[in-house]
Amino acid sequence: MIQGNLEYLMSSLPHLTFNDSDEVRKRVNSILSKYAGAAREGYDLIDILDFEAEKFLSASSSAIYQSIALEDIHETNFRNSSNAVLAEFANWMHWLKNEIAELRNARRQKLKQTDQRKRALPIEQGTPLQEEVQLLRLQWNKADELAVGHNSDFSELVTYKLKLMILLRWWSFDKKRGIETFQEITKPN
Amino acid sequence: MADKILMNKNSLAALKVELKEYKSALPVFEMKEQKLKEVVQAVENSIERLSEAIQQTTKETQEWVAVMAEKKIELNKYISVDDVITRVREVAGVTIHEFVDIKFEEQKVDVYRTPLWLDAAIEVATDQKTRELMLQIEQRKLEALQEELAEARRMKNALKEVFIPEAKENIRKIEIYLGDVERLAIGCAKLVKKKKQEKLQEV
Repeated sequence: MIQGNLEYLMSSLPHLTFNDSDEVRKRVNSILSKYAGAAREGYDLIDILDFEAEKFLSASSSAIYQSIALEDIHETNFRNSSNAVLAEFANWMHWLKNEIAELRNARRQKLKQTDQRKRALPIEQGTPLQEEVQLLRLQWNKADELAVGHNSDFSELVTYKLKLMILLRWWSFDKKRGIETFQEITKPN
Repeated sequence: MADKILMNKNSLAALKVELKEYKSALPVFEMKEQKLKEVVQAVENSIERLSEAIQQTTKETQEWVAVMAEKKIELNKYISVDDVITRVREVAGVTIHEFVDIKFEEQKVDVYRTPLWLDAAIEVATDQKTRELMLQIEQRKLEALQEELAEARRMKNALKEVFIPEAKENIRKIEIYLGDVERLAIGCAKLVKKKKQEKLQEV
């Protein structure tokens, strides 16, 4: 990847769209992998992004950047982040995860109000895959909304990473491997 | 039965006892065969139902199974079997294990760090694993029952087609032989008596 300021980094990163077509996957994968070079062949795309971003960020910003992960983005340290975009996304994710947690608890207890709880979440009831994609779209939209007004700054880099993580989660849903996993875990010992 | 039979009254008596035993054993094996056939049929039906349910679940799950490919989720740890409880029962002389219950290791699901799809996946996978284990138990049961059924059939057929007819045939042979010997003895005795009477008349 081209050495230089954050603008260079942002302009050299592949453009992301909320799309799971093979074409988009291949383009994002190949651009990031090419920029990473042979030394990082086989690396996770997030690791490549973290590594490249590190070259343009201060040590403290880089540490924050590398610690961003969708699983624990709702944690206090992110919600209280000095970066407003990161803090807002983290607070929004905290709200979203609370809503999902309530829905999950209601479903587990098979409560009648499941449908009512679902209405608090702006998603339509469907298969677990359909619901997950809807949740990912919500997250994508939020990250997209937060990126508005930011140009080649740390906040844009943060939203870029969030979007990439959202896309990679979606792209990891694979029917063939899913069937293998299902068969593996359900076979009698 | 392949041994050469002794043509005497003792052999005849022993063969008659044997035949009596064979005739009393035959209905026992016939009943055993009948009972086992019924149980085998029931187990086969149960296997068919379980297989269909497994196929149906697999088909329904295929619509969304893609989420299970998500690398960060170790689905396996949520579907870990703690204990399979079975009951031992005896059916027509066969010891079989019957499924009673299955216990999965309790795993706390962190609803903040795990995705929404995990709950549905745990539910469908535990149900499917239960069915798979039940199917395995039923298949083992069927194997044991079929083996015993084959043995009961072999015994019934051997008694019906070999042992009883052979015993009857041997009894018939000995009875004919002993009858011939008896008639010969009478004939001889009559001849001796006649000779004696002729000698007396000459004197």
